[in-house]
Amino acid sequence: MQLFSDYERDAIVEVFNIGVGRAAASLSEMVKQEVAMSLTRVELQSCDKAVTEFVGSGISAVRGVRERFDGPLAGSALLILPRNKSLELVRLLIQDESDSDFLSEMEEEALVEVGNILLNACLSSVATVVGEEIANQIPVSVSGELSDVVTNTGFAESAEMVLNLGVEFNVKGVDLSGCISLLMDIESIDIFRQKLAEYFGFDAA
Amino acid sequence: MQLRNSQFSGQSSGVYTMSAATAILYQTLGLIHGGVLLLDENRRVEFVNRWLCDHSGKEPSLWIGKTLCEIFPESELGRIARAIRDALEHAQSSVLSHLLQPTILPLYGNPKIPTCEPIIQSFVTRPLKGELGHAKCLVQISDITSAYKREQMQRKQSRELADLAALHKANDAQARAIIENIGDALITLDAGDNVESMNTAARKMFYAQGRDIVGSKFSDLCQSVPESVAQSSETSVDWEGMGVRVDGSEFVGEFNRTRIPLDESGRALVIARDITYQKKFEETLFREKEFAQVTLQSIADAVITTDENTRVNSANPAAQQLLAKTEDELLGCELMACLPFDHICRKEATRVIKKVLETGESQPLCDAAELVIAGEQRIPVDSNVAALRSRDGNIIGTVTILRDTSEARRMQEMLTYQATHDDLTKLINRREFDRRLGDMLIRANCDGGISTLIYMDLDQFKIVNDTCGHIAGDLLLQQVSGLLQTHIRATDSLARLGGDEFAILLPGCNERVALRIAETVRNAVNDHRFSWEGRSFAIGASIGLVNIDANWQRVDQIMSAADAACYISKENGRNRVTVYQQQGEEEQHRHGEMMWASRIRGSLEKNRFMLYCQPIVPVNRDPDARFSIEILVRMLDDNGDMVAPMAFIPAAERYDLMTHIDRWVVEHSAEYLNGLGSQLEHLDKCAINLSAQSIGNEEFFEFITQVIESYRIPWTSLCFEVTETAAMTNIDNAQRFINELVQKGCRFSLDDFGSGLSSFAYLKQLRVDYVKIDGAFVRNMLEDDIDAAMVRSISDVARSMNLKTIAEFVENDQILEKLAEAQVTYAQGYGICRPFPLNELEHYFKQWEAGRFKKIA
Repeated sequence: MQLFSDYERDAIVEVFNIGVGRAAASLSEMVKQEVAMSLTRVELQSCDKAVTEFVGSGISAVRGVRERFDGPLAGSALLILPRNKSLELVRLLIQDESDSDFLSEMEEEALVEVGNILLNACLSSVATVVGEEIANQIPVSVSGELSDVVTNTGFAESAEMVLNLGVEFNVKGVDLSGCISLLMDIESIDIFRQKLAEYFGFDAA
Repeated sequence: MQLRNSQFSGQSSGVYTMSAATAILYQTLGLIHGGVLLLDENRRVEFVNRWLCDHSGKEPSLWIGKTLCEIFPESELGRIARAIRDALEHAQSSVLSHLLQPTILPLYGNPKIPTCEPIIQSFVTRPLKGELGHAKCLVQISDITSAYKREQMQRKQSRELADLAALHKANDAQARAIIENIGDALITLDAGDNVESMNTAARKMFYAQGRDIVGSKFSDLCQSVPESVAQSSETSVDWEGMGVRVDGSEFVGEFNRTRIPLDESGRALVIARDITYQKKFEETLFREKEFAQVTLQSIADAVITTDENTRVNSANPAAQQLLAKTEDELLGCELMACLPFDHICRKEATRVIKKVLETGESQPLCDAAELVIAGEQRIPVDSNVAALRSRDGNIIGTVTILRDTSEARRMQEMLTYQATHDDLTKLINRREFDRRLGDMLIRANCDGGISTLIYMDLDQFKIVNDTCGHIAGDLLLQQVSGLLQTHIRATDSLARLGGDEFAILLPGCNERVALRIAETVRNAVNDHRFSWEGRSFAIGASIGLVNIDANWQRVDQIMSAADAACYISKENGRNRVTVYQQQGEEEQHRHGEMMWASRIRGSLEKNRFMLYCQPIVPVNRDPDARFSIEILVRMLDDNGDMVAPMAFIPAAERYDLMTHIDRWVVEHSAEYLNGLGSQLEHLDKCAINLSAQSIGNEEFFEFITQVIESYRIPWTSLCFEVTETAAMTNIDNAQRFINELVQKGCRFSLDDFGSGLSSFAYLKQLRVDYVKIDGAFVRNMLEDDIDAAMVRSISDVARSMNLKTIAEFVENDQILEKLAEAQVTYAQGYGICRPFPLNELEHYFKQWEAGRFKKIA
């Protein structure tokens, strides 16, 4: 499987940035404070590599939100944050100064909503490119070792590739890095690349 | 099957045709605890379940076919609208959480109770596909109120638990810290006396790193475990012994071994403490004590310590020596019994010691304490007593320090003597005299007692001092002191106030008695003859006498009065006694020099002097001869009245003001003579008097030269008159002064010639051209043959020395004839012409031309 060309990379960043920007705007409105989000990198990787890269950066315990999506492309979308950063993000957003090491149920739900907003925005962007609806199911909270979170998609056998989008949050001057991962099978990725090339008018790699 | 919407709600038509399975499903939806809504693609409610109706307080009819905005017009539903739109348009599911934005739909536990709390909801939207592919949106609302509350509670509990845990952690850490940081070594031993565990201090104490002595025998760590310890059945045993470190070195240790209570295995806890430093400290302490002892033994101050009952428990050698008692005699004695103070001091000291024992403040035992040794020898001592305290601050005794101050006192007495006495005569000095006079004045003001002050100035002392030198002067003063002492009582105070001034204070002596004493003293001085290198000098005493009574307020007033009275004695011819009259104080003060000094200064400042002159004419008148004048100075007082020179010149001499007057006279005379222009030629000589202070004064010499030359006065027209005494005061300076001015062309005359003692001898040494015969001889020469002879002999001598003579006080023509017979050259006096203001001189030129001065003024 060939990796993204520079054209593709730029195109993907452009497409997703629109969605992420929209998500940031609605989140800001909800929590009545400035929330900035931006994409930092785009990678297309095999699932195994994605895991090792994350682990390689020293992070293993993660928390996230997963949505399964279906349509012309199928797979699951994940927002993944290092465990401690997920706590920090939620508490910054709900403006709570609790120092508990665990997310409560309610907090977990809040994180789910944040992930939901962000992932929906990304999936909308994908839908725009593809020109068809991408239906998604309700988001669920996931946590555990990174490898488990990434591989235990519910249909892991078909998710061979992962489109990783590095995302940077800034709330109250605090920077938090996370990752949006779209796990898909090779067919879905191919369709996406094809549609992307059509959408932007360049030749698919 | 038709379902009525009484159970649940259906499409706008109100009737739905559905399968039985669907009907059961709808019934089920109506029963579940939670809200279920189905919205059509136009966002209108297609289905609402019972739960939502119950908790919104809105009947199904109010729901069906309406949008949520229409159903809840007062609610902010933007977030829900977005979720519904995503579901309908993008087939996206959404979850709305409570924490991110609390209110979702206005639902209540029981909407009929207005105060009822709103339901906390979890809100989920999902896209659904209806028949014909129409998009629908399923909304699920869960009541998470109880979950929320539970969570809140859990949160609170967990926070409390966390606090508790933190506290426990701290307590545990504290206990560990105490064990670890305690200075004492803690070692646990098993039943076989093997080391089981040890704390940090123990590891440090035995130099044991890690666990390398755990398991070793305790007897290896402590060599000298007494037999009794090992066998003791007691729970706790203490002993002191040598600890052995891992490296074999030893230390002095204090050990305690305790059986661990309730421990059946027979374990024991050993507490060990390294007391090496303590031992060293004890040793140091011992050395310091030793040092203090040795110091005490060797210092010069007597140091006596007592217990709290004031029984002596130590006395150093200095104390034994001072009190002339052995240590055995002193130890155990009552402190006051050891200190041989006099009665008063003993009483005071007893009180002080009691106070020191009560308050602990150190203080002197007794001021000016004296020890009376063996009933005779008195030793002045400085004494101080302080409290001795135990380590806990309790007073446990006293320490008394005595210092023999005999030497210091002798020194002090000597210094006092020096400060109050005159070195030369050993009489009391001015300061001491003033103090005594002050005491007397206070006494006079208190009890009205009368005392008298005799103030005395030696006549002729200056001549002795100037002519024979100060050694002779000093001797004279000593002789006079001795003389005076023989004429006063023991209670009187005789003082030398300075120079040749003496004073005697006669306490309880009235004026009559004092006057007699003063006369006796005056006679004694007058009878005294001072001999020096073959010469004999007569001296005298001018005395002022002041009664000291309550009329005086200050010492300086009395001294000033005494000075004034003495001055009057001098004015009246010296060698006499004048009693100061308080009644005529004003009048006397006018004569007092103190007054004069300030008046002279005032007049100098305000230019209140006037120049007069008196002609000096040739006795044998030559038709062409010119006359001379002597310039005289007059002072104007505050009323503008003229003051005669005899009144103020003595004061000016005494207060060093003569030079100032001389300068004034020289300058104003020169100014006037300069104004005369060519008329100056009518004058032979213009004579100006110079005082003793001016002659020989370098600055004055420069001043006179500068003034005369700047006014262009011919030196040949000038003559300076100096008195015999002035010239003799400092003959060398006078000679130089005269010589230098004579070289410029002016002349000198010796004034008051004949009044002194050794005039002729000096005549040879001074380059004078004129001799002015003392007027006292001239005035009486008609009546007194001796005076006439005096005049003749002076004239003869002068002539033989080629000097010209001038006779003063020529009061009539008869005298003038006599002077002609005696071949005196010039004459001056009322008989010739009275003094007149200098500025009238021009008139007198005309009269002189006409042959005779008119007797005016």
